Amino acid sequence: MDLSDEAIVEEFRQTGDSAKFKSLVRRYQNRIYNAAFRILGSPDEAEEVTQDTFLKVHQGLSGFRKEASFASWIFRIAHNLCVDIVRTKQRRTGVKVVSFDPQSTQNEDDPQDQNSALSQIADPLPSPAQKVDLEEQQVFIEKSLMELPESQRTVVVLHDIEGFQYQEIADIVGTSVGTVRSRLHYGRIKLREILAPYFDNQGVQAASR
Amino acid sequence: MSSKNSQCETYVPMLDAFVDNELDGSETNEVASHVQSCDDCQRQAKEIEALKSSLSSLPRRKMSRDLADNLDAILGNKEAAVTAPKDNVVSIKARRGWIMALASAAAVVVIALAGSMVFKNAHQEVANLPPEKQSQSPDSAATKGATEIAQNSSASEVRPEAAEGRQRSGNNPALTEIKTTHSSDSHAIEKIASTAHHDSALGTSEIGMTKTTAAQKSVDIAQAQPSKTTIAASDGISKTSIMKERPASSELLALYEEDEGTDVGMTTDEDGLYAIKL
Repeated sequence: MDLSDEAIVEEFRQTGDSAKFKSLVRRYQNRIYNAAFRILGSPDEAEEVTQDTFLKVHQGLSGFRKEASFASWIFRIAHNLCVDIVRTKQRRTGVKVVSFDPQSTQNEDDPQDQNSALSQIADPLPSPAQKVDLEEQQVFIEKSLMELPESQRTVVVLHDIEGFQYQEIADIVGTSVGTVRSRLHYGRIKLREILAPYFDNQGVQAASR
Repeated sequence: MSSKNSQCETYVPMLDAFVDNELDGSETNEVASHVQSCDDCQRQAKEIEALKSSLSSLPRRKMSRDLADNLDAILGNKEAAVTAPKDNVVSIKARRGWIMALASAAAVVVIALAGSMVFKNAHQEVANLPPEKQSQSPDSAATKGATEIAQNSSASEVRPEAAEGRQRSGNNPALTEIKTTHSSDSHAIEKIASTAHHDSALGTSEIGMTKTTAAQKSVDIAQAQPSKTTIAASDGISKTSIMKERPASSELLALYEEDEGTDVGMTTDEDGLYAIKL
Protein backbone atom coordinates (compact mmCIF):
# COMPACT_ATOMS: atom_id res chain seq x y z
CA MET A 1 0.00 0.00 0.00
CA ASP A 2 1.29 3.40 -1.00
CA LEU A 3 2.03 5.84 1.74
CA SER A 4 0.05 9.06 1.79
CA ASP A 5 1.78 12.25 0.70
CA GLU A 6 1.70 13.53 4.24
CA ALA A 7 3.33 10.36 5.56
CA ILE A 8 6.11 10.65 3.01
CA VAL A 9 6.62 14.29 3.94
CA GLU A 10 6.88 13.31 7.59
CA GLU A 11 9.42 10.59 6.83
CA PHE A 12 11.46 12.96 4.74
CA ARG A 13 11.45 15.50 7.56
CA GLN A 14 12.64 12.92 10.05
CA THR A 15 15.23 11.13 7.96
CA GLY A 16 16.20 13.65 5.29
CA ASP A 17 16.18 10.72 2.89
CA SER A 18 16.24 12.19 -0.60
CA ALA A 19 14.53 9.08 -1.94
CA LYS A 20 11.40 10.17 -0.07
CA PHE A 21 11.47 13.56 -1.69
CA LYS A 22 12.04 11.98 -5.07
CA SER A 23 8.96 9.86 -4.62
CA LEU A 24 6.95 13.05 -4.09
CA VAL A 25 8.51 14.51 -7.21
CA ARG A 26 7.54 11.47 -9.24
CA ARG A 27 4.00 11.61 -7.93
CA TYR A 28 3.41 15.21 -8.78
CA GLN A 29 5.73 16.38 -11.53
CA ASN A 30 3.46 15.44 -14.41
CA ARG A 31 0.33 16.69 -12.67
CA ILE A 32 1.98 20.03 -11.97
CA TYR A 33 3.37 20.18 -15.47
CA ASN A 34 0.05 19.35 -17.10
CA ALA A 35 -1.85 21.94 -15.07
CA ALA A 36 0.80 24.59 -15.67
CA PHE A 37 0.77 23.83 -19.37
CA ARG A 38 -3.02 24.17 -19.53
CA ILE A 39 -2.90 27.43 -17.62
CA LEU A 40 0.09 28.99 -19.40
CA GLY A 41 -0.13 27.31 -22.79
CA SER A 42 3.63 27.02 -23.07
CA PRO A 43 5.65 23.82 -22.55
CA ASP A 44 8.79 25.76 -21.63
CA GLU A 45 7.04 27.88 -19.04
CA ALA A 46 5.24 24.84 -17.68
CA GLU A 47 8.54 23.03 -17.25
CA GLU A 48 10.05 26.06 -15.55
CA VAL A 49 7.10 26.27 -13.19
CA THR A 50 7.33 22.56 -12.40
CA GLN A 51 11.03 22.70 -11.59
CA ASP A 52 10.67 25.86 -9.51
CA THR A 53 7.74 24.35 -7.67
CA PHE A 54 9.84 21.45 -6.41
CA LEU A 55 12.68 23.76 -5.49
CA LYS A 56 10.28 25.78 -3.40
CA VAL A 57 8.75 22.67 -1.93
CA HIS A 58 12.20 21.41 -0.97
CA GLN A 59 13.07 24.71 0.65
CA GLY A 60 9.74 25.12 2.39
CA LEU A 61 8.78 21.63 3.35
CA SER A 62 9.33 22.48 7.00
CA GLY A 63 6.63 25.12 6.59
CA PHE A 64 4.02 22.62 5.48
CA ARG A 65 1.57 22.52 8.39
CA LYS A 66 -0.95 19.99 7.13
CA GLU A 67 -3.70 22.61 7.37
CA ALA A 68 -4.41 21.74 3.76
CA SER A 69 -3.57 18.57 1.89
CA PHE A 70 -0.09 18.25 0.46
CA ALA A 71 -1.63 18.27 -3.02
CA SER A 72 -3.35 21.60 -2.35
CA TRP A 73 -0.15 23.00 -0.88
CA ILE A 74 2.06 22.04 -3.80
CA PHE A 75 -0.51 23.18 -6.36
CA ARG A 76 -0.77 26.47 -4.55
CA ILE A 77 2.96 26.97 -4.97
CA ALA A 78 2.69 26.05 -8.65
CA HIS A 79 -0.31 28.34 -9.10
CA ASN A 80 1.56 31.29 -7.59
CA LEU A 81 4.43 30.68 -9.98
CA CYS A 82 1.99 30.59 -12.90
CA VAL A 83 0.44 33.85 -11.76
CA ASP A 84 3.89 35.42 -11.58
CA ILE A 85 4.55 34.43 -15.17
CA VAL A 86 1.16 35.69 -16.37
CA ARG A 87 1.68 39.02 -14.60
CA THR A 88 5.18 39.35 -16.01
CA LYS A 89 3.74 38.85 -19.49
CA GLN A 90 1.05 41.42 -18.80
CA ARG A 91 3.59 43.94 -17.61
CA ARG A 92 5.78 43.28 -20.63
CA THR A 93 2.99 43.65 -23.15
CA GLY A 94 0.90 46.14 -21.23
CA VAL A 95 -2.26 44.20 -22.03
CA LYS A 96 -4.03 41.15 -20.74
CA VAL A 97 -2.42 38.36 -22.67
CA VAL A 98 -4.70 35.70 -21.34
CA SER A 99 -7.84 36.81 -23.11
CA PHE A 100 -8.66 38.26 -26.48
CA ASP A 101 -12.08 39.28 -25.25
CA PRO A 102 -11.89 42.91 -24.09
CA GLN A 103 -15.17 42.59 -22.24
CA SER A 104 -13.82 39.78 -20.14
CA THR A 105 -11.31 42.16 -18.56
CA GLN A 106 -14.08 44.43 -17.30
CA ASN A 107 -15.84 41.96 -15.11
CA GLU A 108 -15.15 38.36 -15.73
CA ASP A 109 -17.97 37.20 -13.46
CA ASP A 110 -20.60 39.36 -15.10
CA PRO A 111 -22.91 37.26 -17.24
CA GLN A 112 -23.39 40.22 -19.56
CA ASP A 113 -19.73 39.88 -20.47
CA GLN A 114 -20.09 36.34 -21.62
CA ASN A 115 -20.28 37.17 -25.31
CA SER A 116 -18.78 34.86 -27.80
CA ALA A 117 -15.06 35.29 -28.29
CA LEU A 118 -15.02 33.08 -31.35
CA SER A 119 -14.63 35.99 -33.76
CA GLN A 120 -11.62 37.18 -31.84
CA ILE A 121 -9.61 34.00 -31.91
CA ALA A 122 -6.38 34.66 -33.76
CA ASP A 123 -6.32 31.19 -35.25
CA PRO A 124 -10.01 30.50 -35.87
CA LEU A 125 -11.60 27.12 -35.51
CA PRO A 126 -12.80 25.35 -38.65
CA SER A 127 -16.42 25.69 -39.64
CA PRO A 128 -18.82 23.33 -37.85
CA ALA A 129 -19.65 21.75 -41.16
CA GLN A 130 -16.14 20.48 -41.46
CA LYS A 131 -15.49 17.02 -40.20
CA VAL A 132 -12.83 16.96 -37.55
CA ASP A 133 -10.93 14.09 -36.06
CA LEU A 134 -10.36 13.50 -32.39
CA GLU A 135 -6.97 15.15 -32.35
CA GLU A 136 -8.40 18.29 -33.93
CA GLN A 137 -11.22 18.30 -31.42
CA GLN A 138 -8.70 18.33 -28.64
CA VAL A 139 -6.89 21.20 -30.28
CA PHE A 140 -10.16 23.15 -30.43
CA ILE A 141 -10.79 22.57 -26.78
CA GLU A 142 -7.25 23.56 -25.85
CA LYS A 143 -7.55 26.75 -27.87
CA SER A 144 -10.93 27.52 -26.38
CA LEU A 145 -9.47 27.06 -22.93
CA MET A 146 -6.84 29.63 -23.70
CA GLU A 147 -9.59 32.09 -24.56
CA LEU A 148 -10.68 32.28 -20.95
CA PRO A 149 -9.36 34.85 -18.52
CA GLU A 150 -6.56 33.31 -16.48
CA SER A 151 -8.58 33.21 -13.26
CA GLN A 152 -11.44 31.29 -14.89
CA ARG A 153 -9.10 29.02 -16.82
CA THR A 154 -7.20 28.11 -13.66
CA VAL A 155 -10.37 27.06 -11.89
CA VAL A 156 -11.58 25.04 -14.89
CA VAL A 157 -8.21 23.30 -15.19
CA LEU A 158 -8.01 22.52 -11.49
CA HIS A 159 -11.55 21.16 -11.37
CA ASP A 160 -12.29 19.56 -14.71
CA ILE A 161 -8.78 18.39 -15.57
CA GLU A 162 -7.04 17.89 -12.23
CA GLY A 163 -10.14 16.84 -10.31
CA PHE A 164 -9.89 19.10 -7.28
CA GLN A 165 -12.95 19.92 -5.21
CA TYR A 166 -14.21 23.48 -4.78
CA GLN A 167 -12.74 23.88 -1.31
CA GLU A 168 -9.35 22.59 -2.44
CA ILE A 169 -9.37 25.02 -5.37
CA ALA A 170 -10.26 27.84 -3.01
CA ASP A 171 -7.22 26.87 -0.92
CA ILE A 172 -4.98 26.69 -3.96
CA VAL A 173 -5.91 30.00 -5.51
CA GLY A 174 -6.48 31.74 -2.21
CA THR A 175 -10.11 32.72 -2.61
CA SER A 176 -13.56 31.71 -1.36
CA VAL A 177 -15.60 28.71 -2.45
CA GLY A 178 -18.25 31.12 -3.75
CA THR A 179 -15.71 32.77 -6.04
CA VAL A 180 -14.52 29.39 -7.27
CA ARG A 181 -18.11 28.45 -8.04
CA SER A 182 -18.70 31.70 -9.89
CA ARG A 183 -15.50 31.49 -11.94
CA LEU A 184 -16.22 27.91 -12.88
CA HIS A 185 -19.78 28.76 -13.90
CA TYR A 186 -18.83 31.66 -16.16
CA GLY A 187 -15.76 29.94 -17.49
CA ARG A 188 -17.84 26.98 -18.60
CA ILE A 189 -20.49 29.25 -20.11
CA LYS A 190 -17.83 30.87 -22.27
CA LEU A 191 -16.35 27.52 -23.27
CA ARG A 192 -19.76 26.19 -24.21
CA GLU A 193 -20.36 29.29 -26.28
CA ILE A 194 -17.12 28.91 -28.15
CA LEU A 195 -17.56 25.19 -28.68
CA ALA A 196 -21.33 25.21 -29.23
CA PRO A 197 -21.12 24.69 -33.00
CA TYR A 198 -19.09 21.52 -32.39
CA PHE A 199 -21.15 20.18 -29.55
CA ASP A 200 -24.05 17.88 -29.37
CA ASN A 201 -25.43 16.59 -26.15
CA GLN A 202 -22.83 13.83 -26.14
CA GLY A 203 -19.90 16.18 -26.42
CA VAL A 204 -17.75 17.36 -29.29
CA GLN A 205 -18.81 15.89 -32.62
CA ALA A 206 -17.05 12.70 -33.48
CA ALA A 207 -15.17 12.69 -36.75
CA SER A 208 -16.85 9.50 -37.84
CA ARG A 209 -20.31 10.99 -37.74
CA MET B 1 -44.03 30.49 -18.00
CA SER B 2 -42.66 33.60 -16.37
CA SER B 3 -42.44 31.84 -13.04
CA LYS B 4 -40.47 29.09 -14.74
CA ASN B 5 -38.08 31.66 -16.17
CA SER B 6 -37.57 33.23 -12.78
CA GLN B 7 -36.90 29.75 -11.41
CA CYS B 8 -34.32 29.22 -14.17
CA GLU B 9 -32.64 32.48 -13.19
CA THR B 10 -32.32 31.07 -9.71
CA TYR B 11 -31.16 27.60 -10.65
CA VAL B 12 -28.98 28.14 -13.76
CA PRO B 13 -26.10 29.61 -11.70
CA MET B 14 -26.35 26.50 -9.51
CA LEU B 15 -26.22 24.02 -12.37
CA ASP B 16 -22.45 23.71 -12.44
CA ALA B 17 -22.26 23.04 -8.71
CA PHE B 18 -25.20 20.65 -9.12
CA VAL B 19 -23.41 18.69 -11.86
CA ASP B 20 -20.20 18.75 -9.79
CA ASN B 21 -22.09 17.47 -6.76
CA GLU B 22 -20.94 20.47 -4.74
CA LEU B 23 -24.34 21.55 -3.41
CA ASP B 24 -25.61 20.65 0.02
CA GLY B 25 -28.51 18.23 0.40
CA SER B 26 -31.43 20.65 0.28
CA GLU B 27 -30.01 22.64 -2.64
CA THR B 28 -29.36 19.44 -4.57
CA ASN B 29 -32.96 18.36 -4.15
CA GLU B 30 -34.29 21.76 -5.24
CA VAL B 31 -32.15 21.91 -8.37
CA ALA B 32 -32.80 18.27 -9.23
CA SER B 33 -36.55 18.73 -9.10
CA HIS B 34 -36.31 21.89 -11.26
CA VAL B 35 -34.04 20.21 -13.84
CA GLN B 36 -36.47 17.33 -14.18
CA SER B 37 -39.25 19.74 -15.05
CA CYS B 38 -37.27 22.21 -17.19
CA ASP B 39 -36.02 21.12 -20.60
CA ASP B 40 -33.71 24.08 -20.99
CA CYS B 41 -31.96 23.53 -17.69
CA GLN B 42 -31.80 19.82 -18.41
CA ARG B 43 -30.09 20.57 -21.73
CA GLN B 44 -27.65 22.93 -20.03
CA ALA B 45 -26.81 20.34 -17.41
CA LYS B 46 -26.05 17.85 -20.16
CA GLU B 47 -23.83 20.38 -21.92
CA ILE B 48 -21.92 20.94 -18.74
CA GLU B 49 -21.44 17.19 -18.32
CA ALA B 50 -20.26 16.93 -21.93
CA LEU B 51 -17.82 19.80 -21.51
CA LYS B 52 -16.41 18.25 -18.36
CA SER B 53 -16.00 14.98 -20.16
CA SER B 54 -14.21 16.66 -23.08
CA LEU B 55 -11.87 18.55 -20.79
CA SER B 56 -11.00 15.52 -18.70
CA SER B 57 -10.27 13.51 -21.85
CA LEU B 58 -7.65 15.97 -23.05
CA PRO B 59 -4.30 14.21 -23.31
CA ARG B 60 -2.19 14.64 -20.23
CA ARG B 61 1.05 16.39 -20.95
CA LYS B 62 4.20 15.02 -19.40
CA MET B 63 7.55 16.45 -18.51
CA SER B 64 10.20 15.86 -21.15
CA ARG B 65 12.53 14.61 -18.40
CA ASP B 66 12.25 13.08 -15.00
CA LEU B 67 12.96 15.77 -12.43
CA ALA B 68 13.58 13.16 -9.76
CA ASP B 69 16.59 11.86 -11.71
CA ASN B 70 18.02 15.35 -11.95
CA LEU B 71 16.94 16.42 -8.51
CA ASP B 72 20.39 16.37 -6.93
CA ALA B 73 21.80 18.52 -9.71
CA ILE B 74 18.85 20.91 -9.61
CA LEU B 75 18.87 21.28 -5.85
CA GLY B 76 22.67 21.37 -5.82
CA ASN B 77 22.77 24.20 -8.29
CA LYS B 78 20.14 26.07 -6.39
CA GLU B 79 21.88 25.60 -3.07
CA ALA B 80 25.20 26.61 -4.59
CA ALA B 81 23.57 29.73 -5.91
CA VAL B 82 22.15 30.47 -2.49
CA THR B 83 25.25 29.63 -0.45
CA ALA B 84 27.94 31.05 -2.71
CA PRO B 85 27.33 34.69 -1.84
CA LYS B 86 27.29 33.89 1.85
CA ASP B 87 31.08 33.89 1.94
CA ASN B 88 31.18 37.52 0.97
CA VAL B 89 27.75 38.91 1.67
CA VAL B 90 25.71 37.21 4.28
CA SER B 91 22.29 38.58 3.65
CA ILE B 92 20.18 41.38 2.27
CA LYS B 93 20.93 43.26 5.45
CA ALA B 94 24.60 43.00 4.67
CA ARG B 95 23.92 44.12 1.12
CA ARG B 96 22.10 47.14 2.44
CA GLY B 97 25.12 47.82 4.61
CA TRP B 98 27.30 47.67 1.55
CA ILE B 99 25.01 50.13 -0.22
CA MET B 100 25.18 52.41 2.79
CA ALA B 101 28.96 52.17 2.71
CA LEU B 102 29.00 53.15 -0.95
CA ALA B 103 26.61 56.01 -0.28
CA SER B 104 28.85 57.20 2.53
CA ALA B 105 31.91 56.99 0.34
CA ALA B 106 30.17 58.94 -2.41
CA ALA B 107 29.07 61.57 0.09
CA VAL B 108 32.63 61.84 1.39
CA VAL B 109 34.04 62.43 -2.07
CA VAL B 110 31.47 65.08 -2.94
CA ILE B 111 31.76 66.86 0.36
CA ALA B 112 35.53 66.64 0.32
CA LEU B 113 35.68 68.32 -3.06
CA ALA B 114 33.17 70.97 -2.09
CA GLY B 115 34.81 71.51 1.25
CA SER B 116 38.27 71.84 -0.22
CA MET B 117 37.03 74.54 -2.56
CA VAL B 118 35.02 76.42 0.02
CA PHE B 119 37.65 76.39 2.71
CA LYS B 120 40.68 76.63 0.51
CA ASN B 121 41.14 80.35 1.09
CA ALA B 122 40.56 80.05 4.80
CA HIS B 123 43.00 77.21 5.02
CA GLN B 124 45.68 79.12 3.19
CA GLU B 125 45.06 82.09 5.40
CA VAL B 126 45.60 80.01 8.49
CA ALA B 127 48.69 78.42 7.07
CA ASN B 128 50.18 81.83 6.54
CA LEU B 129 49.59 82.92 10.11
CA PRO B 130 52.26 82.40 12.77
CA PRO B 131 51.69 79.19 14.74
CA GLU B 132 50.88 81.05 17.94
CA LYS B 133 48.06 82.92 16.27
CA GLN B 134 46.74 79.78 14.71
CA SER B 135 46.41 78.09 18.06
CA GLN B 136 45.36 81.08 20.13
CA SER B 137 43.27 83.34 18.01
CA PRO B 138 39.57 82.53 18.42
CA ASP B 139 38.91 84.31 15.16
CA SER B 140 41.32 82.22 13.17
CA ALA B 141 39.96 80.76 10.00
CA ALA B 142 40.73 77.23 11.11
CA THR B 143 38.74 77.49 14.29
CA LYS B 144 36.01 79.24 12.39
CA GLY B 145 35.90 76.45 9.88
CA ALA B 146 35.85 73.79 12.54
CA THR B 147 33.08 75.60 14.37
CA GLU B 148 30.99 75.85 11.25
CA ILE B 149 31.45 72.22 10.56
CA ALA B 150 30.64 71.36 14.12
CA GLN B 151 27.38 73.25 13.83
CA ASN B 152 26.41 71.04 10.97
CA SER B 153 27.58 67.92 12.66
CA SER B 154 25.29 65.41 14.22
CA ALA B 155 28.22 63.87 16.10
CA SER B 156 28.52 66.65 18.58
CA GLU B 157 31.17 64.95 20.64
CA VAL B 158 33.57 65.28 17.77
CA ARG B 159 33.49 69.02 17.73
CA PRO B 160 35.68 70.05 20.65
CA GLU B 161 38.35 67.58 19.86
CA ALA B 162 38.18 68.40 16.20
CA ALA B 163 38.81 72.00 16.99
CA GLU B 164 41.43 70.99 19.49
CA GLY B 165 43.11 68.75 17.01
CA ARG B 166 43.13 71.57 14.57
CA GLN B 167 44.71 73.87 17.12
CA ARG B 168 47.26 71.29 18.13
CA SER B 169 48.30 71.01 14.56
CA GLY B 170 49.31 74.63 14.46
CA ASN B 171 52.86 73.95 13.45
CA ASN B 172 51.76 71.54 10.76
CA PRO B 173 48.58 72.80 9.15
CA ALA B 174 47.90 69.63 7.27
CA LEU B 175 48.98 67.09 9.80
CA THR B 176 45.49 66.12 10.80
CA GLU B 177 44.80 65.04 7.28
CA ILE B 178 43.34 61.56 7.48
CA LYS B 179 44.56 60.94 4.03
CA THR B 180 47.34 59.08 5.80
CA THR B 181 45.32 56.10 4.65
CA HIS B 182 47.56 56.12 1.65
CA SER B 183 50.71 55.74 3.71
CA SER B 184 51.86 52.19 3.55
CA ASP B 185 54.96 52.31 5.69
CA SER B 186 53.29 53.07 8.96
CA HIS B 187 51.29 50.37 10.72
CA ALA B 188 49.85 52.85 13.14
CA ILE B 189 48.60 55.04 10.36
CA GLU B 190 47.13 52.12 8.52
CA LYS B 191 45.38 51.05 11.66
CA ILE B 192 43.91 54.46 12.14
CA ALA B 193 42.82 54.64 8.56
CA SER B 194 41.30 51.22 8.83
CA THR B 195 39.42 52.17 11.94
CA ALA B 196 38.17 55.37 10.39
CA HIS B 197 37.12 53.57 7.24
CA HIS B 198 35.35 50.92 9.25
CA ASP B 199 33.35 53.48 11.08
CA SER B 200 32.49 55.64 8.12
CA ALA B 201 31.38 52.68 6.09
CA LEU B 202 29.38 50.80 8.62
CA GLY B 203 28.28 53.37 11.06
CA THR B 204 28.63 52.27 14.61
CA SER B 205 27.34 54.56 17.28
CA GLU B 206 30.90 55.21 18.29
CA ILE B 207 31.86 56.80 15.05
CA GLY B 208 32.37 60.23 16.45
CA MET B 209 34.61 59.03 19.23
CA THR B 210 36.50 56.62 17.07
CA LYS B 211 37.17 59.13 14.41
CA THR B 212 38.17 61.67 16.96
CA THR B 213 40.66 59.22 18.36
CA ALA B 214 41.88 58.60 14.86
CA ALA B 215 42.31 62.30 14.38
CA GLN B 216 44.27 62.58 17.62
CA LYS B 217 46.46 59.69 16.66
CA SER B 218 47.09 61.13 13.29
CA VAL B 219 48.13 64.34 14.96
CA ASP B 220 50.65 62.51 17.06
CA ILE B 221 51.89 60.50 14.15
CA ALA B 222 52.11 63.49 11.98
CA GLN B 223 54.13 65.26 14.59
CA ALA B 224 56.46 62.31 14.75
CA GLN B 225 56.62 62.03 10.99
CA PRO B 226 56.54 65.46 9.45
CA SER B 227 57.34 64.04 6.03
CA LYS B 228 53.97 62.29 5.98
CA THR B 229 52.14 65.43 6.80
CA THR B 230 53.93 67.21 4.05
CA ILE B 231 52.69 64.61 1.59
CA ALA B 232 49.23 64.90 2.95
CA ALA B 233 49.36 68.65 2.70
CA SER B 234 50.43 68.45 -0.89
CA ASP B 235 47.29 66.52 -1.64
CA GLY B 236 45.47 69.77 -1.19
CA ILE B 237 42.68 68.28 0.87
CA SER B 238 42.22 70.19 4.06
CA LYS B 239 41.28 68.84 7.39
CA THR B 240 38.05 70.73 7.19
CA SER B 241 36.99 68.67 4.25
CA ILE B 242 37.64 65.52 6.18
CA MET B 243 35.89 66.84 9.23
CA LYS B 244 32.88 67.67 7.14
CA GLU B 245 32.78 64.05 6.08
CA ARG B 246 31.70 63.05 9.53
CA PRO B 247 28.27 64.60 9.68
CA ALA B 248 27.36 63.21 6.29
CA SER B 249 28.43 59.74 7.29
CA SER B 250 26.92 60.04 10.70
CA GLU B 251 23.55 61.07 9.35
CA LEU B 252 23.48 58.23 6.92
CA LEU B 253 24.73 55.80 9.48
CA ALA B 254 22.27 57.01 12.08
CA LEU B 255 19.49 56.24 9.62
CA TYR B 256 21.04 52.86 8.98
CA GLU B 257 21.27 52.14 12.67
CA GLU B 258 17.68 53.08 13.26
CA ASP B 259 16.70 50.53 10.68
CA GLU B 260 19.10 47.76 11.53
CA GLY B 261 19.83 48.19 15.18
CA THR B 262 22.88 46.00 14.85
CA ASP B 263 26.58 46.49 14.76
CA VAL B 264 28.35 45.03 11.78
CA GLY B 265 31.94 44.51 10.79
CA MET B 266 33.65 44.92 7.48
CA THR B 267 36.61 43.12 6.03
CA THR B 268 38.24 43.11 2.65
CA ASP B 269 38.71 39.97 0.63
CA GLU B 270 41.48 39.08 -1.81
CA ASP B 271 39.84 40.91 -4.66
CA GLY B 272 39.50 44.07 -2.68
CA LEU B 273 35.77 43.61 -2.33
CA TYR B 274 34.21 44.35 0.98
CA ALA B 275 32.62 41.52 2.86
CA ILE B 276 30.14 42.50 5.49
CA LYS B 277 29.47 40.11 8.31
CA LEU B 278 26.68 40.34 10.82
